[in-house]
Amino acid sequence: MARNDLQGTLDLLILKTLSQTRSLHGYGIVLHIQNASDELLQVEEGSLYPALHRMEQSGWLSSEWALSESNRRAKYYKLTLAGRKQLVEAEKNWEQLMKGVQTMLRFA
Amino acid sequence: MGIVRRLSALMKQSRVEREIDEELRSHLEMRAADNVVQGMTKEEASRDARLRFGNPVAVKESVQAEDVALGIESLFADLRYGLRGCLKNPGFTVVAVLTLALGIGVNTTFFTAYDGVALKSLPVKDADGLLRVEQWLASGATGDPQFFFSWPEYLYYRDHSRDLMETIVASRLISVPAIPPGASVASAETLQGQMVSDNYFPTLASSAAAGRFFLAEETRPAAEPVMVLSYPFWQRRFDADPSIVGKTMKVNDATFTIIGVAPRDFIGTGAPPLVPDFWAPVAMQARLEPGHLWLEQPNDSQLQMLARLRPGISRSQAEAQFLLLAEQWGRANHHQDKTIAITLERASFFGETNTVWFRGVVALLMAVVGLVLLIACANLANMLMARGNMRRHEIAVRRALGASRTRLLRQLLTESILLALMGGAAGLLLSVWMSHLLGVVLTQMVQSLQIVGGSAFTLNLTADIRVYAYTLLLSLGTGVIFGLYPALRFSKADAISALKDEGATSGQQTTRSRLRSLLVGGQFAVSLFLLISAGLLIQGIRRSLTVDPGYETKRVFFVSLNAGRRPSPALQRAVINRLESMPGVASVAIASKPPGTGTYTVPAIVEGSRGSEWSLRGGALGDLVSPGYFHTMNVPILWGRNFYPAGGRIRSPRRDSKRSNCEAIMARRRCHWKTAQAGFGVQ
Repeated sequence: MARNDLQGTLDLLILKTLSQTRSLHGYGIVLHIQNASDELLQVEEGSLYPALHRMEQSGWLSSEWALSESNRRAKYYKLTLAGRKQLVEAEKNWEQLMKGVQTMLRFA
Repeated sequence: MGIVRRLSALMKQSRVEREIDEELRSHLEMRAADNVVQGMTKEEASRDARLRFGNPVAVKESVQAEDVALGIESLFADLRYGLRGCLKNPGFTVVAVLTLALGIGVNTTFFTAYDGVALKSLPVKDADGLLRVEQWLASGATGDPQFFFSWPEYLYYRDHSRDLMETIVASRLISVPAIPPGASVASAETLQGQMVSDNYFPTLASSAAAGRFFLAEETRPAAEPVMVLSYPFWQRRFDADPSIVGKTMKVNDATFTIIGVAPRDFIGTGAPPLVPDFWAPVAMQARLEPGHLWLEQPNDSQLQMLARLRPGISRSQAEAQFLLLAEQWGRANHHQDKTIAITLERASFFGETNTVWFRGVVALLMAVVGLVLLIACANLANMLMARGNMRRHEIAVRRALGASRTRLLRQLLTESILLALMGGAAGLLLSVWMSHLLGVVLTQMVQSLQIVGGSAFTLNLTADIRVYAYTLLLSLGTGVIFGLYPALRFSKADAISALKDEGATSGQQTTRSRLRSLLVGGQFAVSLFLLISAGLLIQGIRRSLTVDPGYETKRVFFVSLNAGRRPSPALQRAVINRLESMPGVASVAIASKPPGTGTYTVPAIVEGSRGSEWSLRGGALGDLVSPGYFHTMNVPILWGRNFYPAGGRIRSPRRDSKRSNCEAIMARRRCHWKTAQAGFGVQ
């Protein structure tokens, strides 16, 4: 995904990912987005982390260190209550945006 | 520098930073491991992982930027970096810190003085609850008439406001001839005494430094005279000898027993802050001032009144009650000047500081010291600009490595604030010294004025919490305001052009140098302005030293006469005759106040005018003098004649200070003075 993608898209993807799984580390989020989108979406892996930290600062995510399946220490992120509310909001905005763009494209 | 290095080592790898590192590393490792599973070699796997990840340093920078709310870690990093920069460039640092120290030091010194004059509380028990009673008169008279009350008036107020407040009074400082214990009659000294109400010490001081305070039975007129010494006087005159308590001191013709010493920091109730040598109960008035008995006089205002409200009583409640009492008192005693308001102000060292005059002077001085700081700041901004230019390369590299603009802005601002804080700390040190100097100079100035000869004038110019807070705010403000522009400017630097050719395109160069010449020009202008002001001030002082005051200054000497407050006419005549018979003395005159040391405000009325006798108040300043005064002072009488010697009551004492004013009135009418209860002057 390009750096200046539609604003909030990456946030939405992360929120959605974490709502579909219990808790996940950054690498897991990358893989999940890739799989769940049938390889259509590729997150630039590095750009994920500033977003994760920002969302944690905003109180949408909480994090803790734990061991991964491959026995490696990793930081796991989880959705908070505020994060769930934010997800509903972000989905609504996204649908709004899609509707707007589609209407605009169909405009003859 | 060992400490600095150890501190920085301690802070080097902060917890948050380590966590970010570990998180990113674990990501790369997981990706590489997956790659290996998919059949890549180890090298290929980690290369691919890094490619997908992007620049880890840049990622780390931006993750850190997101974590700024955790702030303190990156602040430490910035401080560490800033400190290192300061150490690496000591010349720059020293000049910048010294420049700021001067600017901030001058401002802090001024604030310390302002604090000492207007803000500090008196060193008494529960100072914030202590209020000074001030009355506002229909005539608009200001100064002493507002603050002084007679003894019967005080008793009236005290007895009718007991439920609302505790009221205390203190007299003016009076000079008395005294013979301290152990001294001979021939070595009489002039001491400054103050008379206070019986509840004065219990209300203001916790306990005596030695001995005790007045007992209730000692505050009756018939009681044996007692006094409490002030701490500075006890130290100065008796070397803090504790056995002084119980000894006696002769004042005028009465023998006073020393019963105690006031606490070390007790300086009385100020306004102005003159510390007497001793305190005595008001009841001793007749013995301290045998020539002037005012204790029974309802209209002889000699006492400053202070009040402490009872719990739960509001200031406005107390003021209303006071005004009511003042009106009743005024009616009962036929006061011509009506009291229209009473205010209770927090008792400070110098009385009323809420006046337009005081505020104006403060604003003016503040502007002047502010300009000094402005010069220092312009200097700092200029130096920061110059240094920023040299650091363009460094900043460009950090930009290229992925530092965001906010991150750099924070870094640069932290550095300028760091400089400003160091300057502030140095300025504070400087101001301690400057305040001390100012205190010494001011004290000497006041004492040379001889308003009250010999007594200790106290000016508390030590820094307190307010001064520290002021300096801190001033330094922070300086750092932010004057670091902001250079920081904004250089954090913007375009990485590529800066790296390529140091960004020295001609356009940028001109704007930068234009700003810098603006700064230099401004600095120059303000400095010039200050120099001119200082020059004018010095010129003014010089002129005031050489100005002709209208009376003889070279051959006239002042001799103060210590014989109680009002020497008898016979004594005055005897003194004049004795002095005049001395060889080399041309003439001798007596004045209640020598020129330049103040005047009386007398109720006067111009004959035929419709105003009340107070209408000239403030405009008619008087002095009580002997007939030889005009001759001795070499003041010509422009109209009319001199007093008749020994001619009954004194009429129309002509004043020298407002001569031209009176002359104008007298050209049309006769100036008639209704004063002249001539206790002083030859009869």
